[in-house]
Amino acid sequence: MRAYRVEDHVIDAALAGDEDALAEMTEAWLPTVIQWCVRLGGPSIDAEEAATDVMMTFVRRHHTIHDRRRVSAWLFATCRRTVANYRRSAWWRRWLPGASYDTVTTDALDADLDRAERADRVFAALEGLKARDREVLTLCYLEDRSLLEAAQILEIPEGTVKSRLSSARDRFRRRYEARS
Amino acid sequence: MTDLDPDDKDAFLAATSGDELQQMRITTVVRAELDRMRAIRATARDVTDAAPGAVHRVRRRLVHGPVPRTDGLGAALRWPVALGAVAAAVVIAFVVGRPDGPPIHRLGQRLGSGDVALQLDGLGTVGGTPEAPEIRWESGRLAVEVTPNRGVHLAVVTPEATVRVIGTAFTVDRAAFATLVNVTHGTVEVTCAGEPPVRVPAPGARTCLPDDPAALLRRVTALRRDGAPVDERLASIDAGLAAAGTSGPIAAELLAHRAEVLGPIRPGDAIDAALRYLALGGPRQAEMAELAVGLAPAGCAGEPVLERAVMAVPSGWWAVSLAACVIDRDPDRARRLLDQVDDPGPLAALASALSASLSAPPGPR
Repeated sequence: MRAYRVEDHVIDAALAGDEDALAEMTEAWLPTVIQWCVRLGGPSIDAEEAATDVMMTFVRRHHTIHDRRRVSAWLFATCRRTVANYRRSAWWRRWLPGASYDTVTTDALDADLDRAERADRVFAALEGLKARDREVLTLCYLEDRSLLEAAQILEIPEGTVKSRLSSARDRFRRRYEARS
Repeated sequence: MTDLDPDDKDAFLAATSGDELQQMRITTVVRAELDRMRAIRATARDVTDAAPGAVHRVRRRLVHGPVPRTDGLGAALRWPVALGAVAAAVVIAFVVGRPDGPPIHRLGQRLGSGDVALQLDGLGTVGGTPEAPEIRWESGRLAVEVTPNRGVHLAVVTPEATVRVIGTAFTVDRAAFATLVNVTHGTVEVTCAGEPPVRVPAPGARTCLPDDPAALLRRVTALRRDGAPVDERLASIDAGLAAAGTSGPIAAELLAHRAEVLGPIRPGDAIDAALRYLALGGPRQAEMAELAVGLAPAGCAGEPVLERAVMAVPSGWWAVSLAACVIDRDPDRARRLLDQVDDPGPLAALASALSASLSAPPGPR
């Protein structure tokens, strides 16, 4: 799920506050942001609600992005922060008396038992990774972005992406196969 | 990545002396490893994909506000409902009845003025006059009933279609950048973008696709996201390629989609699409190179595909496979191929063995 390309002049207009351009940017990035929230947050959070919060933040604070080349990095960082808040909140809700723990059941985890089991294994393997490893895995391994693109989104050197990806991929695969 | 075990390494070393059977064994082991890795990745992608309809649901939350949380920490509506910037583009406003009546904001309800009845479950705006209302429909389902012979000329407009009604009942579904018109009573005139008007009597239906390549690419992306059937995806991909021509970023992206869709069912056509993508130089070079190599015939029978993949992405692990094919007839080229590989990935052991073979002093002839 990749955002379709938005023309540069539309991005510039959106960052300057043009409503139509903002709406087009929102529409273009929605699928990618939802996907990031699913993959970074896992099944313990409501990824759709998290994605809503991210896009609301974008609509309200787009004026803080001063360079169109930073849009993807800005959105990813906002996803990261939002998902982290949701995960913390989900963790607390598990422990506080009287609080209900939201077990999110999506259409993806449906009556198909085999698929549900595979999903369990994948998410359990992802949960065992550090957040930064999960991020490079999401961008490069699951979304097929290049090292350069991932480096631009994460705002870290390309070499760092490459080394993190190599170890994250190994760890993910070991954890996944250990649960088979 | 898992290295080949010592038995297989020995088999490889034996293979470099020209034993074809040993080469086949190595290739089989490597391909099995690649297939296993590919399967894990495909599973991970599949189960971590967002649920169908997620984009539509989030879009609705953006317009109408999230459902208040009712957990033990206390319910709170954390965001105001009105979103100026987004609402300007997607707000629903519907005027029913007398032209001087107040606007009514409704969703998912049946509205009627006696002559026009609407059932809305989606997003759109309304303009025109009460005698000639025009509904601009963005997404979701709109069901319409118009009493005939009352002088009401209703039009429903989407980016792909204009539906004109004079006394009939029909539904307009807009999803994944296409418009489906289903006529249950009477006749409607449907004009698809770029085509002449067509009368559709009941019971009948007509699907309008976008006529510009960018919108068709958006449709293809949406269909992929929604898990649409292969036939539907392929139809839109091919329509997009026909509109986009043979070059440019949109054609390239459509070729990548075509390669991905055809991979499991028509590998030859998938390889062709992937190689055409590589020739256009799009940003997904590594992905398409890997796809083409993965579908190509095993071993050196796939050398032509390996050559194209290496030409596009010289640093990919497939350069190791190509080096194994050329090492006997052109050791210098094999050495250059190995030198330019970034990460040999699943072929690390093969790369080491090839390098060792190239470094070894020539034996007696």
